[in-house]
Amino acid sequence: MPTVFFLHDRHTDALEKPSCEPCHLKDANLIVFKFKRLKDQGCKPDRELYHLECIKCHTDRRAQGLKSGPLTAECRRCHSQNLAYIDTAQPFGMDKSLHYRHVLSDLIRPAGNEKDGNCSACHHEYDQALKKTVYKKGQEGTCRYCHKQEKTEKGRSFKTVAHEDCLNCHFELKLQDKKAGPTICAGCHAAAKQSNIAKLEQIPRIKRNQPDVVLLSAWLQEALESGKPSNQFVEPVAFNHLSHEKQVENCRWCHHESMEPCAMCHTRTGTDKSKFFRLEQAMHSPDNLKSCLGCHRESMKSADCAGCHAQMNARRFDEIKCNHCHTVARKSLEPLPASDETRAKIAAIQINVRSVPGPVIPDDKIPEKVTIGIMTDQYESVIFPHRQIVRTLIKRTQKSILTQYFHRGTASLCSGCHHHSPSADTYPKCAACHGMSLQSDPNGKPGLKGAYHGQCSTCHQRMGLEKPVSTDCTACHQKKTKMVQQKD
Amino acid sequence: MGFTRRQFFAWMGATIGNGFLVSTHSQAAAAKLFSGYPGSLGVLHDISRCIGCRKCEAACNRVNELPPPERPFDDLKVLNLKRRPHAGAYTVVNQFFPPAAKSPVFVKKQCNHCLEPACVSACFVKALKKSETGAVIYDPSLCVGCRYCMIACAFNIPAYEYNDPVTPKVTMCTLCQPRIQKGLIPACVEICPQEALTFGTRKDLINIARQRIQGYPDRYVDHIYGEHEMGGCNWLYISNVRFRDIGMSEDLGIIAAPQLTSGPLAMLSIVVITGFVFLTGIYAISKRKDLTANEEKQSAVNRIANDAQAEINQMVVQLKEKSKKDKEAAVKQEVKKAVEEALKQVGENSGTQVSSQSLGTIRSEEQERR
Repeated sequence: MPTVFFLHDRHTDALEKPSCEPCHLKDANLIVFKFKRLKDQGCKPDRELYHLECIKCHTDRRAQGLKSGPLTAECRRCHSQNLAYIDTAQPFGMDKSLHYRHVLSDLIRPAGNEKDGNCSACHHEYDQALKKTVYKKGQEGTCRYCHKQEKTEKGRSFKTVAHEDCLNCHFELKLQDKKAGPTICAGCHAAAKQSNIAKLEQIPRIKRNQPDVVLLSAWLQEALESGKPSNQFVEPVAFNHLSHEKQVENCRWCHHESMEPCAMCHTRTGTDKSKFFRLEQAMHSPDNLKSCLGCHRESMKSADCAGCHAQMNARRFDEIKCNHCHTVARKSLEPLPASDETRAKIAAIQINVRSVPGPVIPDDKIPEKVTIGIMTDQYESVIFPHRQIVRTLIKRTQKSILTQYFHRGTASLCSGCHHHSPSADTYPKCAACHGMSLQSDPNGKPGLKGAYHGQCSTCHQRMGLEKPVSTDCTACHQKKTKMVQQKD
Repeated sequence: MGFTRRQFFAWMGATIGNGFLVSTHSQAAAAKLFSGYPGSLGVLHDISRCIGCRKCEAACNRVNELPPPERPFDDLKVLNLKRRPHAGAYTVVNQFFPPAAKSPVFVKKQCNHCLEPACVSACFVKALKKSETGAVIYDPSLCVGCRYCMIACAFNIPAYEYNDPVTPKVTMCTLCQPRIQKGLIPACVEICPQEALTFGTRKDLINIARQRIQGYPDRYVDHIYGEHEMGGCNWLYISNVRFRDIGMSEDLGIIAAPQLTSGPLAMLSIVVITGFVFLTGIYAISKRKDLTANEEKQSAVNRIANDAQAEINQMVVQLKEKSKKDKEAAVKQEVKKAVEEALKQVGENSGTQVSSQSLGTIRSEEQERR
């Protein structure tokens, strides 16, 4: 039998007075969101329960002359997936704004009698010894660390606990006539209602004793723990934790399984817990959003960046400069093992250095207009507004610390168009490498016409410029007035 | 003929079934893998680069001296309709709005110059030939206008000049064979501003296509259309949206059209010959059956006749014997009677009774004297 597509809102609408009691039982004043039971008894008993109770209610309502659902022997009316209903429920989760509203709320009281914040109202950990949940200050994490999609030994499913904890609290407050969150499905899961949730603007940092800067280095950590100097593998990375916090919606973006340091599970060889993802893969995997490189790559897809970055071959890992991130010289860490303070200090220095914006490139280094007068048999030369475009691009790179850092100086920004250049200051003409053939090379390098048109029009398309349209030839170069015979 | 239609069909079916079991594929398009003549040339069409400017159509028209179109080539509103190559247009560009794409997608459509073309296989006068440079070449002087090539093509490319009553021709892309022989590249490839078309050897083009797909995995669908479709084509496509969303059939399979028909074709001669022989045999057998039936009937009749005759003869013989006996008996009787009368006369003459016994002694004495 196909699973039942249960129309919950329809049932709640049919009640005279909105309440959960007709179907959901209470356990110590908290509603258990299972149908007429406190615990699952197993497949057969539960099934019989459902059949009995559902149909009983339907029969009663029918007897009263009201519209009701299917009765016995109308199996496929419930057990059907082909109904004309589409489930428009959107998944829901907490973001920083909603979290802060809960933090600020006076109605949410802490579980104990803590004076600093009501974190203990929701955040807990399961104590194996005491066999119950307790609040551990400084170790708050997301619910999803223990409550996964499906029920595990660590905890019930996230769906169950989210509903039971959130909704019961909302109900309680509603009964006291206080302003609280939604109590019906649509209140959280309808797209329209989700966009109506108030968003706070100035959200302070979540208080979890997180560092501002971190010196990331697995070998340094090992040296500290073991007390012996270890093999010094690679220059450490100074990581700006504070600025990254501002970029992501929640901590789970990077701390996806726990708040432990990455190298706990992602060791150099990988462990069972990390599904054998090694440390360097975890940091550099370009296809995975949880890795540093992967997330940076993803940000290159935005319209501000894609004009140049969409045209860059994704597989050229060896062109990436490691010392953009691995900037801490090993010498500065001596004597080893460096203490925590030393490390923090070194990391802070690095990050300060990074945050300094690059020098402004003077106008005389950027030609104002460039005349592209090569291959003019059908069209006149192109007068290319070079400086205007460069200034626009520079402005767009100032939007975030990330782009600002990676595009300081001419070497990086200019090589968006002046790529594969032997020198960083003077660039060869395009025709030097893209021969004036009308053809690609066997290795895929386009000919000159394809190179010009491909580069320009791809940039326009990816950065969302509506003009000039690629099919409008005269927008960039005028047609030649005298007729030129086509060469056959 | 004493042979029912049902039996006839049953025997024919058995013949053909037997033919399938025993026949082997023909030598021509056997299960070998033909990956094209070495150095054969083709074109790679990068659908993500095409902007729908229709300059390729204009160049093709110019180079092949085709009649001027109804609407000029820079009229891009023509793209609102789906077109196909027709008489006077070896290639067309079509516009698509697939759900996955943010902007319209343009695809150039023309003969794909398959490695093992169905049209070449279908043409029984060899007007269509696959050349070693990779192009499928049409010779109008040999064409009879049967248009089997149009039916055979899986991509529906060959078009026909229906409005020319005297010398209609099949029209399709020639891969600019005359230009290639002069060392030039096809006109459409040359004119394309975005280099959405790339000309080169098929091997190189496949490498270029693979490099592009690997280098820009977010941009391309991981499939080179034409690498294996219908046994492989010399015109290859890579795209940023699914091929089925842009009018390119994904369910053509990888078996070349001639290979699909080689089995039944190889069997054809066997079927014809053995069928003919078999049918003759059946005819002969059924005819002989009639003959035999006749003969048997005749012999039965003869036998009965003979038996009757024999009976009659016997009766005649018996009768003859009987009559002979009767005659003898009658003669004896007469003789006896005469003798007795004679004796009686003699007795009367001599007054003694002479018995026949004494007659007997007299007779025997006479016999002794003799």
